[in-house]
Amino acid sequence: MDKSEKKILIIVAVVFLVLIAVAAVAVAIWRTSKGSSFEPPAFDTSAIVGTPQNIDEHSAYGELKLPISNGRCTVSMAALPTCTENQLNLLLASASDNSVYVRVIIYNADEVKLGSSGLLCPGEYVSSVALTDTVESGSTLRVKILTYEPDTYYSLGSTGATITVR
Amino acid sequence: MIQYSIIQLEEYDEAFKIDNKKILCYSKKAFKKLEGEPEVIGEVNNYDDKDYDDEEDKAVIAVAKKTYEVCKPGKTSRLFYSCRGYVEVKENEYIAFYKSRFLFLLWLLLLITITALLLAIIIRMGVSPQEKPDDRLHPLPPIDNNAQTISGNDTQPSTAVEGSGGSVSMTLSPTATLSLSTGMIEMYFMNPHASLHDILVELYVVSVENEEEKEYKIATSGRIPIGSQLSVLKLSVDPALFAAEGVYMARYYVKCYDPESGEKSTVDPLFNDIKLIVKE
Repeated sequence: MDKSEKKILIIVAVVFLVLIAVAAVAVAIWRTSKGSSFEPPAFDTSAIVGTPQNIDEHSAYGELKLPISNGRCTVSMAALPTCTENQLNLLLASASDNSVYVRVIIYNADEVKLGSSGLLCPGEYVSSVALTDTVESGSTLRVKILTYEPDTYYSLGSTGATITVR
Repeated sequence: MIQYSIIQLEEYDEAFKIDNKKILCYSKKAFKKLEGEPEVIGEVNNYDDKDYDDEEDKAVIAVAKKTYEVCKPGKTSRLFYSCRGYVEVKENEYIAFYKSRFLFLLWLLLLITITALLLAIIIRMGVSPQEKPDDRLHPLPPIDNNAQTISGNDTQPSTAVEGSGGSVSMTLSPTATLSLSTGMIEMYFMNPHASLHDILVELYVVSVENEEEKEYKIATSGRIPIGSQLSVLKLSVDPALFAAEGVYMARYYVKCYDPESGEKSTVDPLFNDIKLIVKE
């Protein structure tokens, strides 16, 4: 190789290095912006204003009080819900005096996500939450209850509860 | 067999080496400027020193007691060979010497391959799923503009108080100083590298009214990421609310956020007995 070829190789190597560095920085910036971006969950389209009626007495329906940053958040649901055609009849309700949005995520015993509700405003409830998989009677599920600050969607605390499918 | 020999000219402006023998020649640039319509009658691109005596249809050129084959002009690939220079063998008749670009092209190919591979890896990393869909459940509060990254080990000031909240450990100063003129509070809060949570600090003034304790939030920090510290807070209430200079009892509430999911811990660690020194 003569000097001119060596020079060309050096220039090409430098250009390629710059190209790689630019690509790496661009990807890093893109990933950072992607990582920090947050898509607020949608409000539950099946939410009904009010409280669940005609509650099955065997569903162990009860209240959960979450200590959150600016007070308390009360959520009601069935601890022994039934499941019909992949619909978990959780009867999830957000108390009307809550000041936060509420949402639940359902996991199986292996911590695999099975489904989630949309956001519930204070005073709303949903009869059921759709699951991606069939759950058998007697299955134990974990319900993660998330609270969202209405304006910012910041977390105000979360808690978990274990339920058993009848 | 035609045998050429190089006519040595003083005008040659370039030189190249064959088997460590220096050959003077015209450079491409100088050759183009030659007058009298110079003609390239052959090219040398093979430097195998062979005995060509028996091959009648060959043309050869003698260079430093060796002979090299001269092929017809235009037969040398311009992609794989580059011109070293031109030598005169007859009046206005020249032979061009070429050299292989194999090594250069090999290096170029290697560079392109490495670059393409690295770019592919970078792009693959860029488009690969960064996190499971449920990893980011909440946005995180913005990082405090005054938060500083802790370099090196997490060292503690001598006045530090240790506290913990769940798996959160942090270091803070038990005193804070409020300047009423600037509305800034000098304090110290460190979220060490060992911490598992990003934190947000709220400073409350505590007063006892009718034997009942009341607390008033006077400042809130932005988020202090793991491995960061904060030494200043901005007063978020009217300075006129402070009746006089002096020492006030205060407390910190710390909100702890999972940096991956954005989830806040249910219990906010509390640090009591903070002395707030209020100055003009």
